[in-house]
Amino acid sequence: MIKELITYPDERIKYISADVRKFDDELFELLENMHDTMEHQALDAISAIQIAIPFSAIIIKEGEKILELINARIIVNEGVNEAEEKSAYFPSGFSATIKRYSTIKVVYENRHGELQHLNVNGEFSRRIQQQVDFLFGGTLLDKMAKENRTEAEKKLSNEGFIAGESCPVVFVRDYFKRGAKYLLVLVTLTFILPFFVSPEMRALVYMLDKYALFGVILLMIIYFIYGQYEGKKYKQCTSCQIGNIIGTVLILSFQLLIVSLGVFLWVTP
Amino acid sequence: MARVVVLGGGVAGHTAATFAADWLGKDHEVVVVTPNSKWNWIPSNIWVGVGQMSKEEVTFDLAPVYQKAGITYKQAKALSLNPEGNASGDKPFVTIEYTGQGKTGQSEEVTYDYLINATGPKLNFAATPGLGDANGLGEFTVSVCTADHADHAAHEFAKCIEKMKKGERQKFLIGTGHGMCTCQGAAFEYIFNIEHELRKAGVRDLADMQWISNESFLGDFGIGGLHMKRGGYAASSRLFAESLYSERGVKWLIGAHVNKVEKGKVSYELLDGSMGEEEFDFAMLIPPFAGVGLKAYDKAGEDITATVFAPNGFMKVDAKYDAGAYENWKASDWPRTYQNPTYKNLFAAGIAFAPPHPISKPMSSPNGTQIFPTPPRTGMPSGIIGKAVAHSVCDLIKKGPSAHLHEASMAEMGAACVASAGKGLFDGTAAALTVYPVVPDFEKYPGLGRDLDYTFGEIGLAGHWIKHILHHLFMYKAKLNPGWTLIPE
Repeated sequence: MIKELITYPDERIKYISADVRKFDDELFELLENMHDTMEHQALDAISAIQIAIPFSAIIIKEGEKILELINARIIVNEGVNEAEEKSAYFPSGFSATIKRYSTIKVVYENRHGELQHLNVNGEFSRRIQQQVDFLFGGTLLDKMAKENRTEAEKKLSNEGFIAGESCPVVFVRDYFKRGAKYLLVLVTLTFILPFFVSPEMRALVYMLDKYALFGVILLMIIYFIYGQYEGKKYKQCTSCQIGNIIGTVLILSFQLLIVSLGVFLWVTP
Repeated sequence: MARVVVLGGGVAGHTAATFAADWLGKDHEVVVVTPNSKWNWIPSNIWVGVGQMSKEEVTFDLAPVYQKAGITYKQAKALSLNPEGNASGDKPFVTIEYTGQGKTGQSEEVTYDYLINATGPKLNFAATPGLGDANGLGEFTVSVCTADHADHAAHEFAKCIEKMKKGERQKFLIGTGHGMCTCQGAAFEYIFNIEHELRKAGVRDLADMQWISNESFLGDFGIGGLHMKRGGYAASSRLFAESLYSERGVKWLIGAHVNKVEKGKVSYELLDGSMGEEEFDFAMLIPPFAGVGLKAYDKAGEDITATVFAPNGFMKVDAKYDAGAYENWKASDWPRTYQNPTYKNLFAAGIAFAPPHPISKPMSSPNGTQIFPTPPRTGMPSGIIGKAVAHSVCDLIKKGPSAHLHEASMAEMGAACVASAGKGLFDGTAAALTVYPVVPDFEKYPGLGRDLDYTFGEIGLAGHWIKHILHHLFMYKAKLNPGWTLIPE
């Protein structure tokens, strides 16, 4: 049965394909569907995840021959070369220069679960590597340098292919943290004022410092509460967010304590 | 008064013994039998192995700590178990042979009411010809499995740097020394710490770095891989690892079973059945693990080792050992209470318990050689299991044999791991990894068997700081300094 190909910016491509554990009718049906879709789309290779099935299965053409690679692994590599690549996942006009191993050794299982291997090089090696990347949630974008990737994503976005919201580059909570830090620096700078200002002015500075310290506490509380919300919202984006937030609050509290001591012992009129 | 005997003073044994002593108080006795005089924070051996920490910084004497905790400490190795006692009495006992305390070579029978087997592994260097023998590490390679090994590795590494400073090219071969190894993470840490130190020494251009392991894909780590975050994007550990190896100029060879080590050369078999050789000037190859070889006898003196222990020497616990082929593996195969099914007063914790099957996909070459990572049971899971087992034993003593046993299944447990990729306050890096559950649960999480929201990793300087902080935190905890019980496993 012909299935729909998932294409950029469909995020399902990033799903890591699970190893096939059962070599049964369900697998055979999946392979048939992949084959039909590959022929219908006139592709020379397809992985199961391209039809949104996250299982470690690839079908690839080698000349007239069609190979089924189940649970494929690249175990040996030799040499590196660069070439322009296209992918059915991306729009037809999209291509990128990708570094790949020149020669690879691949072990895989056939549809009966029997271990096989291939020693390949050249363009066939490149196609297999692209498909194995799909199995591990990787696309051409993952093989690009960060700057080139950002540029490529921007280009795709300009062409109307807008990736969904994933992980924010800057978390909103960091603005509150930055605000607290700026206030602390500002208060610290006032430590030099008692050398130059009158006692009245010193009293005013002392009062402003106290407001600023209160502001720091407020910002820290907002940072903590909003941070918890963001940590839960974007829990897939980074590890130990909650731990980091608690750690940041502890560090800020320590800094606040030091600066407060300075205010109450030194700036105080 | 009940007596709890803990075999082993590593992460699992030390955790179990110290919590048991804390919870039982002076009404009962806790005895630790371990052949070592020092406790070792093994994760930091990596830094000893590159000369960035001394052996003394990662170890401390056990005797004063156990004295403080009221634990009876016997520096000895366990030889055999008599879970039914013997002809002269019904009391179960363990036969030990002293390795220190002025009684080296002397034997003793230590009776017990409850026994926690946390011996850790035997470093089975003898499994690969040339890697070592029954006495331990061989002469051709180094290891970071113990603080002494790591210290020796650091000296050998320093010699290589000296040679390189004189313009001599050196090849570093690091990874696993057998097709059935675990601890790929330690080897991963070591190769990148070596690479980092070579850069610091200004000799990186004279080094060829080669990784060799039994993983079927880079970034498997013995747990079937995980997600990593890098540069704002999430990627599988395979893509992350490949990118890191490429960035640091480390060549890799995987799906490999090292079958022979000679001076300056290893021979290996790959998953496709082909054979190959790799030369080296410096090699650190992790050995496979085995049980420590404890024997067990019944009351009549008949050998019942096969009843108490699995063929690999690890102790049988409440796991499903007849799960069969890969497609039949379930999370429920993994043990929950770590109680021996035959002798209910026997428990195992950490590496000492026999796992029901691997975590990574089992693979064999066409020649029938098994080449895949065996399941890791070290670090955080080891500590958690040690504590749960101690809890069960304490409840059995205090509440009686019907007490509810505490559970700590690796299929319901998350774990965090910090893998160093170079030490330095400002230029260090480490990958901080979290995985949940450790053992995939294919029924609860179809496909990969993991909750991807909690299976994650990230690499950077912050990871290095976390690793450094953890070093001090766990050394502090293990020394039973004030508040040690509040520090999680």
